[in-house]
Amino acid sequence: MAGRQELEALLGARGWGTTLPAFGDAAAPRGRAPSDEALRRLWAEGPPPGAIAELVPAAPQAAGLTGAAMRLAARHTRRGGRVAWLDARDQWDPDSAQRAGVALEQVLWLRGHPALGGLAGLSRWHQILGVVVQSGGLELVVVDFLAWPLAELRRTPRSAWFRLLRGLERLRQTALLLLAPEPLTQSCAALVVAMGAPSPGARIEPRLLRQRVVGLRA
Amino acid sequence: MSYLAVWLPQLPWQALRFQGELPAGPQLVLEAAGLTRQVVAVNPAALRRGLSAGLSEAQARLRAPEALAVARSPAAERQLQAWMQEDLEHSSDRCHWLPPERWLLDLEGMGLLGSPAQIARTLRARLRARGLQPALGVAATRTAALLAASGGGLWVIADPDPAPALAALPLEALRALQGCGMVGAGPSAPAARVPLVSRPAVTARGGVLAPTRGPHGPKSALRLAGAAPNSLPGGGPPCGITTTPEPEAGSGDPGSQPFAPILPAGKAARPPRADAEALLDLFARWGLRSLGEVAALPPRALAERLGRAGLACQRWARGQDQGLLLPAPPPEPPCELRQEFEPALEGYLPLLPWLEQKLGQHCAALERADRALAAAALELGLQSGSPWRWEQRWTLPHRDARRLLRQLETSLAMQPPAAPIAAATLRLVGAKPRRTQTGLFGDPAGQSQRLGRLLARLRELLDDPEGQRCGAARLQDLHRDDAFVVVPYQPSGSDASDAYEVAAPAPPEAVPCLRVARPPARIQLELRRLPAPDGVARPEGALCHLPRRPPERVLRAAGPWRSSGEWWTDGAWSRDEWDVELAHQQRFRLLYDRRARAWFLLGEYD
Repeated sequence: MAGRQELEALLGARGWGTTLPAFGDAAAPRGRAPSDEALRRLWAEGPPPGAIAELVPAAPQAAGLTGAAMRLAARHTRRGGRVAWLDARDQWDPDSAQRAGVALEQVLWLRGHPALGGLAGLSRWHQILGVVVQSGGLELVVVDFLAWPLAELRRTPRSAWFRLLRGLERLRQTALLLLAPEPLTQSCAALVVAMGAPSPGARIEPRLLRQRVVGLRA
Repeated sequence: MSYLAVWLPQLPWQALRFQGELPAGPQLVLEAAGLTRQVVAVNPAALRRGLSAGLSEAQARLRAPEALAVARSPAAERQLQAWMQEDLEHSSDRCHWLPPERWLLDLEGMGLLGSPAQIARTLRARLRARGLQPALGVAATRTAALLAASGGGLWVIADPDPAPALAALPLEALRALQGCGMVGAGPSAPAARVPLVSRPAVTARGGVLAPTRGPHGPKSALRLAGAAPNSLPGGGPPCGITTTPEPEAGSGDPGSQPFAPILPAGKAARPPRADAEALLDLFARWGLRSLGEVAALPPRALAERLGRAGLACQRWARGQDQGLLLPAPPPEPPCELRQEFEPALEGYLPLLPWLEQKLGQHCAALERADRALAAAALELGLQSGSPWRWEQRWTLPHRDARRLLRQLETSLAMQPPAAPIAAATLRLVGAKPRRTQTGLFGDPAGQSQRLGRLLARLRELLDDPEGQRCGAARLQDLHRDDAFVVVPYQPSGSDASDAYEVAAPAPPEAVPCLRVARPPARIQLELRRLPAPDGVARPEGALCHLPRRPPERVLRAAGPWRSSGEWWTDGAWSRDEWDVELAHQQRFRLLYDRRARAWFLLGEYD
């Protein structure tokens, strides 16, 4: 494992931070599906530092994303980690977070307001996200774009996500968890998980939609 | 090693004189004390008329009706103290202020300025040229220098052992040290040990302490059992110590031993000044009149009666230093600097030299006081009447005058004043300087500063100057929903990567989390049934019109959770909360406001 980290550090220094399989595959034990192993590691260890993980609803009205994100945040804060919650629509509920096990004093809550709307507001949130990621002092950054109009989210240029990924890979300290109505970051995401019930009345379960395997980027 | 002590007696009066010329004749400086006014300082002419500090105004008027009364000016005193501190630093780089009116200079290594006596004479001439009347003392120890200065004028004690020179000083001179916070700083509790000497008392060694008449006048004497007469260490002057046989110590009543310590040793590390006063009064009642007599007392007998405080007092009487000098911090420089310009300045360039001078002085004073700048504001009074303002607040306090001047110059260049500058007011807010890590286990160097800069940048991006949209949430113990406050983000410093997994309690399993609608959105609910007689409107089966969704039936509902509050104010609230489930397992929290008779969407469970 130490050799892998060393190799990753060397590749990261050359700008090839995503050359190796980023998550799950390499450590999947025999007899277990890679997707199961990736999900197990996600819930057990959280999103990997220096990578982007996306949580999306499996269906338009599916639920469970906020609860899952809070569970991951609780895992970090309980160990003393610092978490930033970018609440673009000011919908985060501190009471629910505390009941989910989040240590509130460890969470930097950035609340949106009506003036921060539209494409200009989205651009401002990307600016904020860049500042938070480049600060390097936070272990997990949760971005809640669930209630943001999807048409505006789709207009986000791909380069913005790549720039963000570069910042994450450079420090390899911060993990980014993105809550969105649909996958936004495409190939920048190390992991895309859909949350939802497989059938009406069934329990909400995560499903691995995509996992970055090998992507050689110069 | 030599020290120079400077004393400005009657500082309130000298401060007023420093501000400007006062007419001749007796003068009183008065300060309000309750319903009356009290004399806090007098000038030499008033002293000669028998006036002194502590008298009431009426008493002073009876003695000298023609005396000029002047109100005390704390601002003038602060200005004089600041000027003294700055001026004395030209004579020594180790200048300590002993508030309110004494300064102590370490002259070690200042040979280029002359001998200590020459430095003292030069300093006295400089102070007198400013209209001040200082008293100076030069000696090999700090204590002796302060005692020498209390004599008035200039007194140089060249002998390395200052005790013989100080022996003639009256006992009252020790009060000068008390004013500096030195006397009374002993490690024991002398108040508990100060005996009532009106009656004989048995000592711990079986001796008796009783006031007696000495051979040279009405003196008290210490009579010690078993001690040879006049067996004083150091060969000091005799003070009438005789011995008389007394019963054994164990035979007396233990309760009658006034020297037994009431407080355990070390309980009172710094006894209050009243104890020192009591000590000096005790010495006076023993008949001791000079420092030489106190210095000549047998240390062991003194320790038995007065404890370590007595010994400390004796060492001061001998002019010996004890421990390290812990001076009070220098005064914080004034936070507002104002200057009026006549004629008015054309453009901002002529203003810069004034700013440079004031900022340099202020930042140097901040450095001496171990303070830094947290904010600065410049307000220019223009001839046109329109104000020109500039304000800057720093996340990381600093005391870099050049940086501040550069920022000011840039702002003035970007927005030059539209009219000639008639006045300038510079306001500077001090703060505790930010420390960086100097040890292994503290906060990593600059970590907190980086966090502060990050938060400041985020507040700027969020247009959130009040800090209500960037911070940590803290729940409030209220019955009202959404009861929280946003407090400044100050996380604990531990690092997640270093934390032990086993020490972290596992987070609970998935709990329903609410996505709050702020503010609650008003919705339409078409109820199947009318509200019950108790006012409860049940939403089961109702058609729910949520924002940006097609109308849906409420499949299930749980509630109501009724709450009300603040009925005694205009902000009274009374409501029923419901958890409802629509199709596709979507759950919402609804609110029925019983006062407004309206339904609201509080949030969605996710």
